[in-house]
Amino acid sequence: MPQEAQLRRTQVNLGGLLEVLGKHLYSTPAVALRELIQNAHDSCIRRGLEASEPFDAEITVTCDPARRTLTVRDSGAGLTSTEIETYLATVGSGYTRQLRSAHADAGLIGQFGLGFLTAYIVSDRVDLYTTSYQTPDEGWHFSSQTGERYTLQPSPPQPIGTRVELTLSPKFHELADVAVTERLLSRFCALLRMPVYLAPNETPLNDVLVPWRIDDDVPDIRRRRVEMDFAQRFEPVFAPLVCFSLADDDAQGLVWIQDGASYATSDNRNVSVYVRGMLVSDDARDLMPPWAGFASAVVESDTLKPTASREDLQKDETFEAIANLVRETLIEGLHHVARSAPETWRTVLLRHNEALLGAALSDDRLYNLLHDDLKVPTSEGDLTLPVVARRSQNKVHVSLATRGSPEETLFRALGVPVIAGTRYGALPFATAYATQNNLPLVQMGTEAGDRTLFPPVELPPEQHARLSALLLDEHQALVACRFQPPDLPLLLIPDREVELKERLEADEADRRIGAGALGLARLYTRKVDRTVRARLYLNLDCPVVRRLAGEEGPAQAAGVQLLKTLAAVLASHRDTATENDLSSALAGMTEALQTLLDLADGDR
Amino acid sequence: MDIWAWVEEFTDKLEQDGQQRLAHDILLLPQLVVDNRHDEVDRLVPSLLGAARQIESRWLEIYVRHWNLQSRVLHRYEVKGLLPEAVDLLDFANQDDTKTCPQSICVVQDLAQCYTNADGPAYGQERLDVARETLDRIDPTWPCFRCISSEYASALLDLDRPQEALDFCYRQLAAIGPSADPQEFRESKVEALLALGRLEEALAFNTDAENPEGGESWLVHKAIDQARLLTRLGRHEEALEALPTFEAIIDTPAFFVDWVDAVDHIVRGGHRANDWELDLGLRVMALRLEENGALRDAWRVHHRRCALSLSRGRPWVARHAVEDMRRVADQLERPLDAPLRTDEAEREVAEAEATAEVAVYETPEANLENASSEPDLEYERMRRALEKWPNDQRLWLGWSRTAGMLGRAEEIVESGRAFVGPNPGAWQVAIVVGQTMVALGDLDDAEAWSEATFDRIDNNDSKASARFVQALTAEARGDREQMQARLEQVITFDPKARNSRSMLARIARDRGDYDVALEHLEVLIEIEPDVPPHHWDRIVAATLEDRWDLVRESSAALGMTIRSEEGPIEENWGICRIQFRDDTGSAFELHAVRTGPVTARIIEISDPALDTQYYGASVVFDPRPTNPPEPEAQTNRDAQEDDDEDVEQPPLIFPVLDTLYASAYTAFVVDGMKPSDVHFDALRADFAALNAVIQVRSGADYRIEHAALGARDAAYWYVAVPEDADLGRLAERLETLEAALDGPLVWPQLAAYLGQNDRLQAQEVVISEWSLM
Repeated sequence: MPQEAQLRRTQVNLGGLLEVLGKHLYSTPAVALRELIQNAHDSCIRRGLEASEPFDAEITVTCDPARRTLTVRDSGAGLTSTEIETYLATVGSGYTRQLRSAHADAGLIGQFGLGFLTAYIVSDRVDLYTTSYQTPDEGWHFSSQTGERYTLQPSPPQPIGTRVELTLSPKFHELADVAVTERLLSRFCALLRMPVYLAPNETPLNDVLVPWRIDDDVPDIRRRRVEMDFAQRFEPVFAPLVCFSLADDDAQGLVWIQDGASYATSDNRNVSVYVRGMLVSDDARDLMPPWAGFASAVVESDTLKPTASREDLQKDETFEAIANLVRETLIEGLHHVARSAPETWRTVLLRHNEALLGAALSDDRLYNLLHDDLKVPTSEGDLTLPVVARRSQNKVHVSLATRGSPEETLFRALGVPVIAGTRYGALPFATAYATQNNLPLVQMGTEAGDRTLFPPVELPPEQHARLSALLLDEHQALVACRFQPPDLPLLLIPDREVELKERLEADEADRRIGAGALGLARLYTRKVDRTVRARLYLNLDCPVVRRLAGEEGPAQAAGVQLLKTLAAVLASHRDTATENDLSSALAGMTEALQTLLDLADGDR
Repeated sequence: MDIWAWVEEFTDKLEQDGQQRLAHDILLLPQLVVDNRHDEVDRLVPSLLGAARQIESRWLEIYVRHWNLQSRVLHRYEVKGLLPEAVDLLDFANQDDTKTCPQSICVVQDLAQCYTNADGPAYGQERLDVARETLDRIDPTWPCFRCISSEYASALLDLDRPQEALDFCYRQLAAIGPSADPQEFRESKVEALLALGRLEEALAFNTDAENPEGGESWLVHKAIDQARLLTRLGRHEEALEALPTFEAIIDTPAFFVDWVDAVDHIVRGGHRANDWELDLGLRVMALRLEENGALRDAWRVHHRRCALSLSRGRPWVARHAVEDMRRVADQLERPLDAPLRTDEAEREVAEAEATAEVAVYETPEANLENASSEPDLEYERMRRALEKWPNDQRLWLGWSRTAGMLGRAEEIVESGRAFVGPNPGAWQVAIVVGQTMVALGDLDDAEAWSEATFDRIDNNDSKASARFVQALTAEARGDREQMQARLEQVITFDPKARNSRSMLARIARDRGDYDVALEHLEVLIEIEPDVPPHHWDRIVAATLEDRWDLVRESSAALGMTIRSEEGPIEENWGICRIQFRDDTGSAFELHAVRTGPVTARIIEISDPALDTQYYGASVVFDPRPTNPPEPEAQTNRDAQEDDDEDVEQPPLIFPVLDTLYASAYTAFVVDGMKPSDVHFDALRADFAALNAVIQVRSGADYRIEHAALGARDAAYWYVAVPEDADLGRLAERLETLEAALDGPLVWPQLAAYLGQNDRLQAQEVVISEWSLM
């Protein structure tokens, strides 16, 4: 045996391979720890399969920050010198692969024979001490610095198993830190079925009650406790609020709702996936539906296929099937809570109302569950849709304006809630509710909305003409109608399309907009009818309107002037473009008041 | 300035200002758009737009409106509805304070895109001009250089100049320089190569194309193109595999024409059925395009339908497609060759019709009884049969069913009207016409037609049906009063009309008119004595109407035993929970004793802060619990009953419907140190003498703390007192208790009610020091 041998290679440049592994295949050096645990685990499994003597499978990790070492010891099969040369010193030819072909269901983790190489990424030197169950009287010490050359020599026999000691390179010294390693191990190994110790603790790090592994006859109340404790372990930011167990032939796990307030577009999906007991990904959020930004899950499935790095999952049919399972579990779970745990359900609604608006719009079953319980922001506070509909006489009013329009001011006075359509999901949710319940949805501030709010009433032509002559300015149209409250005589609403047409067809537009683009825009504006720039909605239910329609003389003229002022004042809230009209209207109002006062003096 | 540089800077600033959510949503919006998550775009856009206006950021407003147009126009082809918005945005983005916003360039593209999607070839020249004008304003370092160049190439392709389009793409790549990705302009290049017949080249290019930032929509479009190329190369199975499903693309009209192109070739290659369902699917797409204003594409899809229908020997379906082509062509402002090609198609259809043979069976019945599973064939067979027996109502009804399956609602209306003319007594036809009008949303027509039917035919069934259609019309309008009036008319002609009775009973119940509901339910039970929901509904109405005889009758029918034989039912059926809702619609539950089938007495003091106190109230509830025992649990419970009687099920929760007797109590809160058991028992006894009730709300671990005095075990409790109770004595008793405690005790609501301002002020200090209430 040579003092120093070369690692045998499989047509790969090891230095280059390590660089690839370090930089690309594995995202973090912590993966080296995980790979060593996997090797230790698989070695214990191997001993169980091949050796006849019973033994206690266990793995112990020791950190020594002073020496900058990280040691992983297992009570597994150990290696003979030939095995070291065949498997350890040959890239991509781990024994696990062979063993797996013979024992598919044994729970072996390793797959690609690359795991041990990761040790070189983080270490200045790797030492391995081993005694095989096949040669219990022999001990071997394998040592390598660069990974390219190694020494292999006899050492005193030790208890059967393997001890790998990494002398960490300064860059990765934190792996020798107990706290760091504890945090990593408790994530990686939480579901591993053999005890993993972090010396000097005598309790295994993975002494975790896994909800889907406890007996069926455990009382529900105890099961719920186990679920909540388990979920809490995986939830760094939020406490779990309620858990749902997930199970089918291919996967088991736990889904839970977070007990922290979310907004609709929060994406706090937190999904960890374990394959054969070892963490493969703690960011498998694609397994959770996009609308469930408030939910988390831990999934254990041996049918999910990790990528070569074992840090992510292949997006194959199994992945899709499990994503479906997670979604169905969540939807079913939400139904169950709504039915059976009203207090918890209330908290779910309170925390995640907005996100659930999105969820309800994404899945009909959730819409059916939630349509009476979710709240939308309205001018009267946050209300459920049934309350909105009841208080609006079976209509749903939505406003997309950021500033209050005259109609909204009206509605506030009437105590009729107007939904703030500018808030997330409010408009689509209100639309869905209105459609389902055959309720008219009035979008305030739109032409269609105005038509619904102010349904025109047919007037005798001569009366229409007379009122038009009294009340209208140039390019205005009169719409006689009846609306609430009767104290409001009229509203003047400008036609935005005409405003736009005038702006774009003015010469000034040629200076600011390119000829080609303007040409296309004018193809459209040419079709807009310019004759009506604003509509005056006249409330026939208003006593003043009725009276003015009948009277003639100076009082009528003054009254008309006051009405026009009011119209201008109300319209000016809506649009800055009418502000010029406002000042002349106010002047007119003063004049009208003078007239009325003169008339009153005359009466006296 | 690069728009993304601005977005990054702007969102960083927002985050620093604590506006993380807005920053997050701004970045999310384009991702949702390119991933085809348009429903989510629709939820987000109004809130972002609101925020942009709130913080008065006109650049942000342009950004949001641009991405909204990208979603609605580029992906969903909503040209008609969004053209005014695109024009308005162009105006908005070209003001003094907005025209330096780099996204104002993209706004020009949004407007051009409206015309591209409405009718690309017709506006080809204008689009070239606009794109050229825009390209002159920017240089290849701008992100929009690529988009505008694509638009230019697309206009060339629409003008049938593929070689120029291809050359242009290469020129633009050269202009971008070494940083250019050779896979840039995938769509234009594939389209040009395809038009030039360079299929293998196109396939190789498309196969290798990648665009990590393109999102889901880029991938779907690539897959469709892959299928188009493969099927043209005769590799139909691979094409079928590559092609996204109908379901995957039906929400995104931008995919329709190319998807239809791929399907058309695959069908012609014999690898997909050419049947009535395919035609229906294509028609749905074309109608959606037409509705959106994407007229040229709509015409193209109808044109494909026409050819496919001819090739499967259904010239009458091809005739429908030609009619659709004609209608769409008439709407094109610049029709180009569409009218001519429509004429050509019509000639082909006419030729095929002349030779098409569809056997008509010998009797009307045989035509109905021997119908095959191909509705498009049966549609024609029955149509021809109707020519032979033009007045056969059953035949018309059979035909209308096949027409309905083919989505021919307008034709049903038209044909039905024509049928009823010479057959004024054919009321069933008239009713189908009315129902179809309602389904089409032609509510005014439905109303008028049904009124005429009602007037014309003197037959109770007909009159009842006509009124029922009118009730549906009123329902569709959301006019509940009219709906009720119409339903009431239905039952005058057909007193046993079950649907109408049920609807009337429901309306009456919802309005609180239980006597009316009861009348309808009586009739319903007479017609259908064994339907449990009728009995439950009657129990509810009868309870509220004090008709205890009817409650007993229906309870017996449902197998429930009531011990007393007459008068109000006041039994103890165990504990349940009653669900109430507050003014905002939030639900809350209170424990109650169920006193009968649908009655309960509340035994839990409700939150004193609410306007209404429910303790002691008697209510009527909806007998459908919100938490019905699961069938499995029920079975388990039955099985375990003998050996495990302790298994407790949670009480059922019933939503409240109405109040029989209101509570005669008011309530207030007491908070503070927990009295000893002895003190508490004595207090309970003294309060009980005043008919007041105490209910502790806090848990065993409730503790309160004072900075100087330390912590105490505590209790938070409600006291309910009859409205006529001597509140002063209660307050005195609480004072006595407080004096005996080594800690605080407060009852501010009671103190306020009694006008004890000094005490109130003192208690407020205590509340503050001990963090109570």
